[in-house]
Amino acid sequence: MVNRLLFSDNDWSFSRLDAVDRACAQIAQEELGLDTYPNQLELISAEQMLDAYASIGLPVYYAHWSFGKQHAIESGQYKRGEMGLAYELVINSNPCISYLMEENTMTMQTLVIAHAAYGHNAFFKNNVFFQQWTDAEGILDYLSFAQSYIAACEERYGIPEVSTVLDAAHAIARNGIDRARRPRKLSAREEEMRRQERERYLEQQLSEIWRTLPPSSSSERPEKESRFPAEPTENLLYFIEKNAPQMPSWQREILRIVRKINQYLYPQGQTKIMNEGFACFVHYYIMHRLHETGQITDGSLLEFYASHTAVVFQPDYDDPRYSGINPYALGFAIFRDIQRICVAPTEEDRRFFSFAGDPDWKKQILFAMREFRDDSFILQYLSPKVIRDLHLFALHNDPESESYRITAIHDDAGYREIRERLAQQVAESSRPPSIVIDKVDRWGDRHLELHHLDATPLSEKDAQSTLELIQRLWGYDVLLTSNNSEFRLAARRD
Amino acid sequence: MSSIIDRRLSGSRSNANRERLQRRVRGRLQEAVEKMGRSGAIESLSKGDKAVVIPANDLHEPSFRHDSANGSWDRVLPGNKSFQRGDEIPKGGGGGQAGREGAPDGEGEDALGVLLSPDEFLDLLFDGLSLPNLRQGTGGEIKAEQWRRSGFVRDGSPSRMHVARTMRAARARRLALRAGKRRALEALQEEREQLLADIAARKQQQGDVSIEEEHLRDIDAQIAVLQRKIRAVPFIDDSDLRFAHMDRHTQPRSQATMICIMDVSGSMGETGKDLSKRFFLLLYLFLQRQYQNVQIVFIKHHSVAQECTEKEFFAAREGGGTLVSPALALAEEIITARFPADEWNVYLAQASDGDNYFADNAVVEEVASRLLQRLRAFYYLEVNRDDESHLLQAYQELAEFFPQMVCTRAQQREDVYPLFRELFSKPQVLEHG
Repeated sequence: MVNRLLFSDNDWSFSRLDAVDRACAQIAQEELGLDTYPNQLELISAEQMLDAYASIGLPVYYAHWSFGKQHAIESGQYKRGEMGLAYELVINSNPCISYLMEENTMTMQTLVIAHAAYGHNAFFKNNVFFQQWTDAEGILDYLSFAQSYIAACEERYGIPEVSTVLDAAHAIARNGIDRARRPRKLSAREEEMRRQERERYLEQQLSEIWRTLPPSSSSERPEKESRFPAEPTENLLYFIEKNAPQMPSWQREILRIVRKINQYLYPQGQTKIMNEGFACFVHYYIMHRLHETGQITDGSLLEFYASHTAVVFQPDYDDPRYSGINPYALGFAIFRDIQRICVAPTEEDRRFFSFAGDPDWKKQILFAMREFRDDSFILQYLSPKVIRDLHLFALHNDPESESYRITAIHDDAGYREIRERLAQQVAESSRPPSIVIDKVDRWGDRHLELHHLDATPLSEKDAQSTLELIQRLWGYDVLLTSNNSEFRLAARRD
Repeated sequence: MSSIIDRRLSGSRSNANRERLQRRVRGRLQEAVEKMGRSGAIESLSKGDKAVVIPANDLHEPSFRHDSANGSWDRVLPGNKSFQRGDEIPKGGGGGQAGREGAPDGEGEDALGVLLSPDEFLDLLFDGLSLPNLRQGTGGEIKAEQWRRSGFVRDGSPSRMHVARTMRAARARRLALRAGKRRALEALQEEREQLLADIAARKQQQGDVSIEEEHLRDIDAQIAVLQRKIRAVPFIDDSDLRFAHMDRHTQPRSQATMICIMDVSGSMGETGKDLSKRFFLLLYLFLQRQYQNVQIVFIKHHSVAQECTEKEFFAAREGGGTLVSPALALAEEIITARFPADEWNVYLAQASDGDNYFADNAVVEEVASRLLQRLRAFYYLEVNRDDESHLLQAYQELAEFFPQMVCTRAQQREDVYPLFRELFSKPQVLEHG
């Protein structure tokens, strides 16, 4: 028999990486039918991985102290041996950049290429949510535009000034995402042109809403009662960028940069379980196929099992290692289960899923990968079997009560409730508190009124500090009221 | 087809963030560094990374978030063992704790450890300090050489090639070399048009066109030659290359010397030596760190004075009686021989317990007052004494005439760093010299 082994000892080399990449590509494209962006695999050191961690995995990012803080925390943990580093990091861009750590063995590099360069990559390119909300083509350009623009601002206005704006922008970044409207595509050059245009416009014009000159005749006097904004608006960052009365244009641009980058990152938070689950599914499939076709050794397969099981391990709620539901574990379990439901459906599966027994399981997997995001994915695909395997149960907390109540467990009566609760929980965890801009006192002291809509109370201390940061951007008083209580906070101009 | 890139050599890019973080917590760092400067082990001041702990509150990043401890919520958890629907689990302990998830973003932040490199540490330690009365540029200066950009030249190393300038030169050359030929070409082409029209007109009248055709061939040949010549003007030529030029500039820089005199006599004792060494080590690190061009002279003395190396100075453990004047005399000798006052800013620092042989004090006074006229500053540190020594009194008398004479006392190690900061942070007015 011809020796088809890609490698026999475990040291990686560039030629081996290349061979492994080809082998993975063949399986991914021909057998799984994955459509991916071209790949760019970059070898990096542990130190560089820590750098990348600090900037949310983005290859180019502006400088800010909070990233330094992140770096100090993580490198400290890493040096003390409290934290292992991810084997890879992947960026939603075209070409799709995957970072491979130099410490990895060849088996690990194979796993990582299958996972990131084919699993995540296909997800980025095909998932509807990513297609609609992010622009893989433009992001690298935009990030370098952002970096150089902010560096130029630092040069011109001083690092502390820029940092103040960024601090405030970061505080409300999660309240700066358009959830209902698709953002426009990014392109660095266009962006630069638009920026200059905006700047010119802003310099020429005084914003209409701040026109406070007395009207020429009383008949033209505007309705004092007319609200501004006409409807409450939830994108704080956007509203402040467009309407803050006396903000210099460079500060508006910085708000815009923070907003755009967070908008780009938004789908990643919405599809964590699916994205990781799908990548795990892909690497699991590819690694097995490589083994079946004699391209990796039994030893490699065992090494793969060791790290794979560690990655998809879900500690129980009472385990000291427990820190929430592991997206890798849940996502992988669901994707594997979709395959099982197609290939070997039970009676129960047929009751729950119309596609049970579909011989083309690849089509079902790809459909699930393309068309959902975490909450809808769970609602659609979390099967009784997975609920049983993970022994999921639902807990209710009533603040008035002395005890928690179990509302559902993995039995016939509980499957649907657990599924709904989990989907809701996943949706809520990725959503910031609903805070809207209610009103601007245009004709009076220009104060800004915010309103909190959720039933769950806000953490008051944090809300107060955030409000003070918003006040710095807005320049006038900012108030916050809430639906659920007498809660009322204010940040005043000094 | 994937591309594989080796990024390992492009290094770390966290410096900018790190610098901004340190800027933000500067106050805290300063506080911690000063504490270490006061009480840390002397030897380790300049070595190794220093860990500074910053309370997490200083670096908290606020945002709107829900208070998960209050309000009602539902949560799905894995790993059910014995719960049945409807079970009640008492809050706060017992078998069923669900609270581990309770810190969604940032609540459980610990204090942050920041590592300072030795350089960063020393920068903070000596922040804002300087040598007083340093004369800049009036005599006493050396010419330091520095490379600076200065215009463009026609050859140099390829790494310095200036692309924009080169392309500009190339374009200028191409324009210049082609312009004459272009003009000639245009004239010929016009002539050719004319000729073609002539030929056509003659042909219509059935006239003879052989001469004109001859002429036409001639013109075509000339045009071909010109076109070839125009094409032959190279797009870029060796003569176009321009290189950024670097030139040496000399820059005047003032130079200074510090003469350190330490008493190593038997009366000093361990504490006294420790205090003096601490002071001199700070001084030494400070000068090394802040000034590129400071010469340091070490003198140790008991009843005899001896110039020594830095290593011998800090390791010195001797004994014997005390005479201060030989040390000052040696200093004077060294200054005269090596550091003429009009070329150098000379400083002197002396540490002693003040236990001088009584008759020597008069000599000291005499030598010191001569010395003082040539010094930018004279620091005297008296260590480990409850009362003021005669030596100190003598120096204090001198201080009334010479403002550059500065006397100070240290009793315990915690005193040294604050005293050091005080000595080098206040601007002093110099009337003499």
